[in-house]
Parts: sequence; C-alpha cells; structure tokens
Amino acid sequence: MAPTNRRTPDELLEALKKTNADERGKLRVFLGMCPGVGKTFSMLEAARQQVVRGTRVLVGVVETHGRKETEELLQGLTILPKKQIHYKETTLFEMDIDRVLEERPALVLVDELAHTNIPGSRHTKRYQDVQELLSAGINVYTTLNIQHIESRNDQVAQITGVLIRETVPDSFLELADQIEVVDLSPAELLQRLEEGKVYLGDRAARAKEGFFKEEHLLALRELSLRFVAEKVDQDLHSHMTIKGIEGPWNTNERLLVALSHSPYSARLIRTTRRMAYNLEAPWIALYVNTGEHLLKEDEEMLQKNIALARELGAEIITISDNDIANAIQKVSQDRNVTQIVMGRPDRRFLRDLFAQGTLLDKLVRDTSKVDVHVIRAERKSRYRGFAMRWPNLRSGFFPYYNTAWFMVVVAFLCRALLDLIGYRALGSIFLLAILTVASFTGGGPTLFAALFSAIVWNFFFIPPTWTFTITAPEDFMMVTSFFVAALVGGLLTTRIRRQESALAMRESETRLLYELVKNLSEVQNEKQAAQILSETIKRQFKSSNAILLGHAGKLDTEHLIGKHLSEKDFAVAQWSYENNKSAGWSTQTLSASPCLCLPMKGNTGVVGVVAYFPHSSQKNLSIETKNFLETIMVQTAIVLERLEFRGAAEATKLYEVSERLHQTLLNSISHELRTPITALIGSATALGDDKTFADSNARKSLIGEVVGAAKRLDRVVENLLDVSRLEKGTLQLKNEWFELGDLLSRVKSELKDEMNGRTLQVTGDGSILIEGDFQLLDHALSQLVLNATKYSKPATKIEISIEKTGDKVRVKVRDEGVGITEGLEHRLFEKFFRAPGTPAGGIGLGLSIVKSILELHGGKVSARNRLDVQGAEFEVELPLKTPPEVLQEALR
Amino acid sequence: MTKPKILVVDDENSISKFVRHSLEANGYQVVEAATGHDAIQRMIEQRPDLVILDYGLPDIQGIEVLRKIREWSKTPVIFLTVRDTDEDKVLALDTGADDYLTKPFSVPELLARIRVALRHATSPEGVPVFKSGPIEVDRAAHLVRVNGKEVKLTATEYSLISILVAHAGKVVPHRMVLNEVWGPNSVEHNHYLRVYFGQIRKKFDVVLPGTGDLIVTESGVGYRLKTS
Repeated sequence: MAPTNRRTPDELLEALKKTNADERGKLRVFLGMCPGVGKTFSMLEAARQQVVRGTRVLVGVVETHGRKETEELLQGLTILPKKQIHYKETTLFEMDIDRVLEERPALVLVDELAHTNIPGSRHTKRYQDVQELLSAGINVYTTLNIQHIESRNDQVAQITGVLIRETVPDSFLELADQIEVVDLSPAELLQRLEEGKVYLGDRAARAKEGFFKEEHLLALRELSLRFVAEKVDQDLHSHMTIKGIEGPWNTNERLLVALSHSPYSARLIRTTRRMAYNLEAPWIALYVNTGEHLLKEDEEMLQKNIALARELGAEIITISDNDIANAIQKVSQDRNVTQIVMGRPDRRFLRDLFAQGTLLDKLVRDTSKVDVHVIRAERKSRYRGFAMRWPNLRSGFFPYYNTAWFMVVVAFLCRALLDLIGYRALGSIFLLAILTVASFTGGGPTLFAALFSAIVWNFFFIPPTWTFTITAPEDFMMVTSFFVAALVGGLLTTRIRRQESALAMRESETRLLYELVKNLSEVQNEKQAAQILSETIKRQFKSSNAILLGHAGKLDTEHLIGKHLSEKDFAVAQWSYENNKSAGWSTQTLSASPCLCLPMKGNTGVVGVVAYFPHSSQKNLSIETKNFLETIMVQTAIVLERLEFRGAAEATKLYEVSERLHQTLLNSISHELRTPITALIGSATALGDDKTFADSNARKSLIGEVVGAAKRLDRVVENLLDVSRLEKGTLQLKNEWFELGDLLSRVKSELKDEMNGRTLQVTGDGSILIEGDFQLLDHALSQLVLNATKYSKPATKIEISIEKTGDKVRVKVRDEGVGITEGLEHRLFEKFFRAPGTPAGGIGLGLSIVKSILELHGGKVSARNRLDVQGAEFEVELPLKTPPEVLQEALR
Repeated sequence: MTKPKILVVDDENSISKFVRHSLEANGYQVVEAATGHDAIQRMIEQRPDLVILDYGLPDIQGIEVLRKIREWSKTPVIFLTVRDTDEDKVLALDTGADDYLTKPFSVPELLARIRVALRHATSPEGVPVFKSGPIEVDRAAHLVRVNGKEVKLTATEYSLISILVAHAGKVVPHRMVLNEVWGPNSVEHNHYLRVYFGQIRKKFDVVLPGTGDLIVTESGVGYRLKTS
C-alpha cells in the first residue's frame, strides 16, 4: 500500500522545478539622450500597436509633462489608479505594484525608470519595482535617459556640467531584452524646444541656456548611440548559454579579473565578460581583501561591482591577503587561469619603489604562464593623495586617556634614568614606549604618543632643556629621525595588530564553518539543520535570528526556528522567498524593516529564508559578514536539499515495494478469480445447449458446478475485503461471549462440503467460554481447516483439540498431510508467501489473515510438524478471561 | 384465490431478472420498480402484498423508501443488503422492515423468507404462534417440548425460545430479544445471547439431534428460528 501521508515522487519533482528563465517578463527600454526626444511618445506608440494585436496592456505610470501629443496617445489605454502614500502630512502617488501583479497584464508601461520612490513604498527605486514585475512574468516597457545610467553618469556630468543623482545600475540594464535609442538630431530637438513641445515658457528658456546647448546634445547623442551599440554587441554573444555553471566550457581558457572598490572595475568586468564570451570560457571575478579599512562609499561601490560581476555570470572569489599580486597569483594557479584582465595602474614613484613595482609589474614578473591584458583607462582616475592611507584617528576616549597617563609615567622614568644613560639614549626608551602603545591601541593614540614623546624629549631632556630649540644639529637629526622611525614603527605595528585581529576573526570563522559542516552532516531532519544554522549565526554575530523553511513553493510560517517574528517581518520574509532576493534592513527593498531577510539558495532553488536581526548600533552589513552568512546558508541549504531528496528516495522505495506487492496480489487474484469464472461460463453455456439440458443428470451436475464456482468466487471476494479491512486497521472487533464448542461445530458444519471423505473430529472441553469476534474467529479456524484439507489426501483424519492451560486456551488443528517444509514454519504467516511445491491457486493471504485476526484478539498462531505422524499442526492460542458473574449465574 | 402480488425494487437488472422468474414460477405476481420514487408510486397504484426492497437505490436510499412506506402501510417488506453492514440491517429492522436477505442469496432462501413474511402478515394479530416444527411452547404449563418431550429450560431460556417461536421464520433483532426477556435498557446481555442460545441448542439436540440447528444466529443482527 502506498503511504498516503507522504508526497509522491511526481509531486516532489514538481515542487523542485526551478523557475525557468523563460518565465521572466521581457524588458524593453526606450533610451533617449535627454528629455524631450520623444521616449514616452515612442513607448506609447509601441504600446498601442500591441493593443491592436490583442495584447492586454496596462499603464502603470506615464508622465506626460503636459505635452499634448503624448497625452493624446494615452487615450484608449487602460490606466491603473496610483497608490496613495502618506508622507509628511501630504499624500503623494506612486505606481501600485500590487495592483499590477494582481491584474497580471501581458504588458505594463512604466515611465521614467530612474525615479526614486517615496519613502514608504515597497522599494526604494522604481527600477526595483520593475524587477519585481519582470520576475512575475509581466513584460514591461520603460523609458530612460542616458544620464541616468550609472556608468555614464560621470561622463554626462562632465559634458553638461549637470550632475544627475538618480541612477539606474548597469547590472539592471543588462537584463533588458531590447534597448532602443529614440534618436533625434540636436537641431530638431532645439526646434521642438522653440515650438514649446518640450518645455513651456520659462523652463524652456532656462533649458536652452543650460542643458540644451547644441554641443552638449551632440555629445550626449554620441554617448547614447555608443551605449546601445555596445549592448548590441553583447547581445550577439548572449545566445551562448554561458551564465552560471551550465554551458559548454572551453576549459582550456579561464579568465580572471581583479575587482576593487574603484568605479573603474565595472568597465573591467564588462570587458572581461566580452572576452570570455568570445572565447566561450568561464571567468572569475576576484576580490582581494587586504584588511584595509574602506570608506563607506568605497564599500558600496565594491558591493555593486561584485553584484555586477555575479549577474554577468562570473564566479566570485573572495580571498584575504595583504599582497594583491600574491593573491592573484595564488588563485590563478589554483584555478588554472590563463588570462588576467586588469586596468592600467597609476604610477607613483615612492610607492612603486617600496613595493617593488606596480601591480602590473609584479604580475608580469611572477606569472609566466598567464596572459595579462591591460585595459586602457577611459579617463583619469581620481588622485587619491597619500599612498599610505591616513589611519583611523577615531579610537574613542579611553585609549587616549590611558596613553596619556602611560606616557607621563614613561617621561618620569626617563627623568630618573637621565643621569644614568644620558639624554640621547632616552630616545630608545621613548621608542619602546611608542611601540608598546602601538601594540595596544590604534593609529591615533600612537601618533599622539609619538608627538608627546618628541615634545617631551625635546623640551625636557635635549639641551637646551626647557625650550623647544635644539642647538646641536646632530640632536636635531636624532629627534627627526626618531620621530619618523617612531611614526613608521607605530603605524606598522598597528597595521600588524589589525591584520592579526582580522586573521583571528577569519580563523574563528573558519573554525565555525568547520563545526557547522560537521554538525550538519549528522542531522536527521530539517528542524535540526535549521537549529544548527540559527545557533551558528547567533554565536558568530551575537545577533538574534529566525529561520523559515519552505516547501513546494510555499514558506512555512507555522514552524520557524529562532526568534519570534511579527507579521510585518513575515511579509518581508515571504517577499524574499518568493523573489529570491534579500529584503529588509540594509537593502533597498522594504528597508524600514528591523530584520534582514536573506533567501537560502541551494542547488535547485530557494529552500528557506534567514531573518537576521542586526544590533541597534550596526548600520550596514559588512562584506565579511555578508560572505560568511552566505557561505553558511549555502551549506545549510545543501543539507536541507539532501534531506528532502532522501525523504523522496524513501518514499519512492516504499512506493516501489507496494507496487510490487500490488502486482503480486493482482496476479494471484486474477488467477483465483479466473478459475471459478471459467467453471461458471463453461457450465452455464453447457446448460444452454438443448441436448445437455434435456439430460437431467448432466443438468443437475452442471447446476451444482455453477453454484459451487459462484460460492468460491464469493469466498475470494470476502477474503480480499477482509485483507483490506485488516490492513487499514479500522477493523473493530464485535465481541461477544460464546462457547468454544459452539464455534467449532459451526466451522465443522460450514466446511462439510470441503471434507471430501476426510473426517473432522473435535475433542476437548467445548464448554470453555471465550470472548471474541465470532465471525472473525470462525473465519480464522475455517481457514486452518481448509488448509488442512488442501494439503492432505482424502480419507485422512483432521483433528481439532481444545486444551486449557492456566490463563490460555489452545486449539490445535492437526492433519495427516504432507507437513511443512523444514525451516519455513515461521514464514508461512507472511503475506503472499507460498511455500514451494504448493498446489496452484490460492493467493497466499489466508494464513496472514489468520495471524492478524488472532493478534487482534490478543492471541497468536504457530505452525509445526507433528511428531507422532507425518502432518502439520497449527496451534491457536487465545487468552482466557473470567466470564462475568451474570453469565456464570445463567449457566448454572 | 388471487396470486399474491410482490413488488420487487432493485436497480440491478441481473438480480431482478432471476427474482422475477423464480417468483412467477412459484405462483406469485411480480411488479417491478427500479428507483425509490418509482417504488412508492407502484406501492400506491398496485397495493402489493409484499415488497422486496434493495438497499442501494440510485435516487433515494432504500431506508428512506422504507420509512415512507411505513408511514401509511403495514405491508411486509423484505430488504436486500450486502455483507458486513450489520448496522444498516438493524436500522432497517428498527424502521419497520420484517426481514432481510444478504446478497449473494439463493432462491430457496428468498422463497422461504417470503412465505414466512406473508404468513405472519396474514395471521390474525391476537393469536400468538406457539408451535414451529418439532418445537412447542406451552404457555399454560410454562414449558417447552421438543417432539412432544419436555426440555428443562431456565426461565431466561424459556423466554428466549418463546420469542423466537412467536416470530418463527422471521429474524428477531437483538434489541427485541433483550426487550422481551429483560426489558428495555438492558443492553449488557447482548454479549451473552450467543451463549444462552448455545445452551438451548445443546439441550434440544439431546432430545432430537439436529433441532439445535433450527436456531440460527444472524450474526450482528439477531436470531431466527428456521422453518422448513
């Protein structure tokens, strides 16, 4: 029987099917070089064409800016009412995403892709709204100006002098299926401006002065056309399925590009991707974490770059190493990289001198098996100034405080030692002091200590004392070199300390990861796995969290592990699960939420969501935290998948076993049924023949056959029904009291016809009272007697004996037949078991039914060969209960 | 004498066919209906002497038909059920059916039941039956005879056999037995009936072997005294 509470393998496969890329909606972008070229107009025209073709089109949001021609095109299109959002005592309107998702049109129009949504909207930016719509399978038409594209933002600013802040990341545009330039020659555009078709009145005038100068427009036009040309080039290669792990790799080549926080990385990434396409080779985007502290904007840029690389299909590797060149080399060697792509480095004399050359030099020198491609710079990168970054001066109050006191103590120490070693040697003491400070604090206090020492030494100890002047030139040199040495030493020490702590942290992460994997390998069910994950996160980040698991496309919000979630949190988690994207705190979707929801991705899809609650002091998720979280989530997701597969495999196995049983049963049944049916048809049709019918002997005999065959059929059907009822376990005993002799005489009379010359004798005390289901026990004993007739010859004796022993009664059915094959005594009662050499026919269910019936009564049945003569002995054991008073009375 | 009219209600053609043939061959008039509503219609139109009613009908449940019939008629009803539906049988008997037959059944059984039902219907109300085959109940002397010879029975046994004889040939449901012998609300003896009747059988067999077999246990429903 198939287990009914587990899913069938088919259902499981259905649930595990990944969302196909084909199910995404198509994005068509109308790109213009500046406002007024007619993007919205073109979009509406295209939309109207679609309507004519019968596509269901809805207008999500369209800005006409008061332009008449545009407004005319809106006629006849269904415009969705906007969502009201209350913000700071005013009511503003944004596109109603949920409404669009509900309506599910084939196409929706969303104007001005770069628009920033009002706080309180689901996403921060409109392009994220569009992303959600695309994921839901809805096609989108949208408009965009070249200045809004992130990678072009700077250039436009340079050209026009106007910096536009609302941008759309290139990674998003990579998803567009069609980008068309709505092109207009600058001359024409200026004409339109004159005619008041772009802006009206004052605005037009201002525009003409600022943004809309002809030379600007020319440059912008070129920019737009070039952008689209690049995209076309990429599209040519996009038909090769090289995204992620699929795809026919040319494993001879592998590319690597080193990412950084520089905005220039984006260009390198795209170039590498193009090269990878050309070669049909996989590519790696490497980020080397040197432990340097990054400014906030740098970290954001870095995240963007990594995201872009990932979207374009790179394998992302993060490695921690001081030395970038070293790291690149290591990875190149490990992964058999054949080509490295990097940007042209700046040359800074001092730094290069100390570092033994630029990155390029080092790479070229050390790796001989690799091609190095240097990509030209588009424009000068911003000069960063100091080669050595200014250390972080903010250390808090206490380090400074302690340092101050420490230095004061050291000063007094020097005073004490002055006479012993002379003023020059004091320098070394101060140096030691500074290095001590550096070992325990950061750059700021170290600098402070160095300054303090220099001043104190100079003022108090170097002649002339009590002044800041230094008379002896050698003393001056000494102080200067001391100061420089102290500074350098101090800063280096702090750097070492920082690296050590970073190392320590990485070590603890690795250890935690190891423990996690070890624990996960031992889990038995998903709950345990989720528990381990939750504890690991708690241990590492000391923050509360909750884990939600998903099955068959639905997030299980009933059983979660970890912190209790509010309804709002659930909504965020649900969104994250359905859209396979992170949401909540520190993201750009539903960012007001207190928790960060990260989808757990396994090999086949999203298996759950982790809700991470950061400390109140945390502002953002650092890269290390993010990477670590992702790593442990992936591990857990894989384990969860494995558990699910295992469950499916077991279900399949059980299914197979029951399938086989079914097959066996069907085979036996069909035989059992066919035999009597054959007799029926045969006998009845024979009766149909007039001559046979006329013969009264033949007639009587055949009629007897018909009845006999029909009775046998009835018995088979009864047998089957009994089996199914016994299997289901819903059989309820209809208990009553009766005399054992009563039961046996009934058995005897029922089986009169089957005796065929055998004698059936009942011995023992038949007045023993039994409580049980009369019919079932009748069935059981009859089965035993029937068996006896089947395996013994006619003219033999069958004995039924009753024995009472203590609190049990034993009924033995003995025959004088062939007996039971040695060793098979126990197996007889198995379902479908047929002992070898048994006569054909019979399903093999009889004895298993007997066993079940006896067990239901709290008794048992066993079989063995007789010791006195050849034959089998079946023993039924039933518990004896004391009959109630009333009954005993009545029997006296 | 007119032939007794029997209404056969069954939606299975294969069953109604052989029932019709055997009934007609045995001197009965047969009217057929294939649905519950039809049956009620025929009841009103034809006024049969007996109804054979199948439990599972396409439009309304057999039990419903029975209920409707019993609202205005005392015509004996024998209904057809399948195995292992004891609760249904008891319910039907309580609702007013006279007897039942379990499918698959044989024609002799059917004819016997019909005879019994018709006899009990035609015999005047006030005359209780005291004799059936070799068994005789002497109310005055308060004893039972088999083949003329007295059989020593306990008071309980006497009452039990009396009621069976009074309804000779018909099934007497457990509840009726308990009611008659121990009064209403005496369900506990339900589980001991078999033993009691077993004792009676043994005593009868001593006097005339084979008599005990006349007492038939209708498992899960009641008891019946077999008549020819």
